Amino acid sequence: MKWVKFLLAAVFCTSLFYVLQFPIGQTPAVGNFLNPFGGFWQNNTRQDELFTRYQVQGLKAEVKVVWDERQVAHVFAENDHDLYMMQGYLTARDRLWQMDFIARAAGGRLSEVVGERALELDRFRRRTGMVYAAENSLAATSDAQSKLVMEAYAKGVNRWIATLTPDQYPLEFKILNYQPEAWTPLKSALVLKYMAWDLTGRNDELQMTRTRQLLGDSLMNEMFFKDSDLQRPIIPRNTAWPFEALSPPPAPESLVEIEPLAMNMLLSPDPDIGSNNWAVSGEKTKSGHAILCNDPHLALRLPAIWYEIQLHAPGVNVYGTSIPGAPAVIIGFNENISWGVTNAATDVMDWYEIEFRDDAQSEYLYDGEWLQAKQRLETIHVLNGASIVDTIPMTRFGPLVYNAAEKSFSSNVPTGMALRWTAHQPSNELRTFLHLNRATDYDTFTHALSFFDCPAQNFVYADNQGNIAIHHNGKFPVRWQHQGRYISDGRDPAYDWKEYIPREHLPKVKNPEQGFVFSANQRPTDMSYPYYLGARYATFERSMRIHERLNEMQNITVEDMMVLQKDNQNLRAEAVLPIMLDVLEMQGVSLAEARDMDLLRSWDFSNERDEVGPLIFDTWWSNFHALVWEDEVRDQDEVLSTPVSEVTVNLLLSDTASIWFDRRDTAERERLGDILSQSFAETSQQLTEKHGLFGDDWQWGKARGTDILHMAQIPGMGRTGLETNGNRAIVNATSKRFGPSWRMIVEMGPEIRAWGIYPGGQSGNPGSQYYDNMIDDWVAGEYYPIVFLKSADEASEDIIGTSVFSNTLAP
Amino acid sequence: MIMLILHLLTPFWWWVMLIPFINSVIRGASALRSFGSGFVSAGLLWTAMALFLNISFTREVVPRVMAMTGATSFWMLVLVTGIVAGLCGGFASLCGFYLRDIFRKQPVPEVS
Repeated sequence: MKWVKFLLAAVFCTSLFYVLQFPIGQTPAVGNFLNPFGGFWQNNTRQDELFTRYQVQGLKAEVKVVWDERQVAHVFAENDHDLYMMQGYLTARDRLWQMDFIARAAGGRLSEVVGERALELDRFRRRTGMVYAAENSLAATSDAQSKLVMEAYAKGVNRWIATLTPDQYPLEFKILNYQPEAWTPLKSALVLKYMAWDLTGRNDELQMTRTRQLLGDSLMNEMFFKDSDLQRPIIPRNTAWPFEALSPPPAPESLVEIEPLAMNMLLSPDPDIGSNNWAVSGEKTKSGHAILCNDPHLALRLPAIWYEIQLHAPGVNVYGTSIPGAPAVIIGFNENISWGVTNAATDVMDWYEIEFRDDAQSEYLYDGEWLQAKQRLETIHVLNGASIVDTIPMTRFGPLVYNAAEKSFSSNVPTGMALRWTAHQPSNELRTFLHLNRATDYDTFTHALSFFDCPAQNFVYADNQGNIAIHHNGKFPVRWQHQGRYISDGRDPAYDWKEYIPREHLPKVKNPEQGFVFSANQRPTDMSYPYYLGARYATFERSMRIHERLNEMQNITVEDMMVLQKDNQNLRAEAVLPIMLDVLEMQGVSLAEARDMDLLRSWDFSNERDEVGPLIFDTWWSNFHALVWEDEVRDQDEVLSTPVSEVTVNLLLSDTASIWFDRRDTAERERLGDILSQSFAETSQQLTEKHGLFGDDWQWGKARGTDILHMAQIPGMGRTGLETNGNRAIVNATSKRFGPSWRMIVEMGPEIRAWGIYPGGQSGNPGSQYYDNMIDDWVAGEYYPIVFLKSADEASEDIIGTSVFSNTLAP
Repeated sequence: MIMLILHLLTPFWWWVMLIPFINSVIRGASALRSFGSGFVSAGLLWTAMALFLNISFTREVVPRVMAMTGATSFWMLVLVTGIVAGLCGGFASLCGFYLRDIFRKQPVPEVS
């Protein structure tokens, strides 16, 4: 009897132990998680505490860190080793889990910690050659300075990890139930490649190839590649090109054709990712000093994408944002120059159809010969499961991402094809940032850019001598017209990348007559530029608005620049809405529709949060655009991408009687009015269905809103339902998930003055008061004055303390 | 007390099971009292620590964990923490007492 009692109790206790000790499904291990001595209760503001002295073994000299009230670290070191070691140490202090997670995600190692549900994602990362790219990049990181920086940074991160006891682990480690592991330079390289994929990894060659087969070349030109009067290229139109261009290779006689795709993707082809940057010369500013502005638009996340830092050592004093996991400042300024970036959007990624000799995939046909494909092995460890060894055939173009029989992880990634991507080739982008951080003038700036291959960017520049410039910079193959717009033939050498555009031939402009330079991911040049670069640039709205405003502004102040970064003018609506409404008015409309029309009539084309116009217009536009093009891009069950919105805008502006408005799938001849009234009726109905009867819920800020989700999408760790202004294709490009991830304004001159804000906070700890402390101000459109110190002892009222870091604790 | 020290020194949560278990093996009086002392000591310890951390430091992490777990109030989270520890302590302690009971020569008179 006693034995039975004991056994029952023992079994029960053991089960209790098991339930609490091990994670079940996606629930964290409850025992560890709840334990107030080690679990989540420990991740509170105590982790924000700052001490006056820290011991960091391995530092060569004392390092002083001055903290400002947003907990931005201003690091004052006596040598580069200590500087970057401290950057690693401090970034890890604030963002360790984020760094770890991005490096795992980039390197295809999430399955190790979350199990099988991440396997296809991991496989996708490995197959697209992320690890291969990072290894190549690391091999190219051969100059002494870059090596020292990479290693010192990793050493700093590891010093921080060594100080941690499990109760101090970042919250997400406790939720996901794993431990931090040592940082390596390879991880930094992976983090940079992750950014490269984020910015250049969008590709629609598959759909475009089918669309071309459906429409033919002349319509393709009409619908996808046309320059228009609306476009304001980065380099002012009619700029002469002072060089003898290399001649493009001959184009093949016919292009690759493929089988119909089993897909229905009536997507908006307008990209969300984009950015603005500009610089105005002293002649246009009130102070007489140049002003530089940058706001990169990315998928917003918590912990925030950026980490602010000031890095000071002999030969360098730079302030700006860094990427957790990578050394140096990516966007920022020093005492002499400032710089910012937008995505170049030039084509740096092609897909090649590969013909293998047999299923072994070890030989493939190229130029009439069978070439060997090296087999690259990738081992993926899976939590609570067997490890998987993936074999990737490596062709002369790059990795074969999926073989023809496999299912692709992403609809944009074709099967049976090899990926050629400039990010795979050895390059050392870190070197660009190390040089930019130390650049003193235009020449040193230009020299710094020569190391930057991928992700290609528009680098804007301003200095304290009054110069401004912008460079469309990266490694670009010399292409025949539209090469890489469609699937390439891996058998035919005509599709090869033979040489690259020399750096000195890349589009750039310094001190143009107009007194400003700018970019918004638009077409870099007019059609006179002798090289073909690509055809997936941003539509006209942001670039036209920035151009228009900068052009008319004089005596510009920093406040004017803040207003422009937050500008909500909807140029598309301004251009087409009056026409659309006039035509619609001639059709009969219902009572509810008449009200919606009135609301649109009284709207001032501004995407402010309390307006209802943006919601009605945005919905109407999507419906209208889809209705115009769906019949053209549909072939039985296959629905391909529609042209970009700018084509529809041009059509409305130039040819309201166009044949495009006719629906091919009906017997009648529809006219613009029919399409407008049909799409408007749909719109009124949809709005009521989705947002209820007309009322406050129709306001743009509420109806659209912005969600900043946690990186691992853990509920409660993000911020949702933010009532923001703006939209994609508006200077203030804030949409549901995307937005200005960092707003920066720098006024050059003998004393640099700068402002900045990003949606998040310096700490990655959800229990910290610095986790999301800047979000509300970001929504409100505020900026913080940036504390840019010349020395550690400089007084400033925004400073909350100083810490000394040294190899030993005793002073 | 031992539990507190071990908790502070090591990251293991299961001291709230092991210590009450050992305690009852050594000096468990009755099933009910063993369960009770285990429940109270472990439950109180975790509750007190959770409260201490939230008196000493601002509690930004609590609303986030509430949103994550679906807990509706701070006190609910404290209660769950306390009860989980309590149940662990209680049942482990009970288990310890039954083990002691097997090897005990004669029943100890119930102490009132």
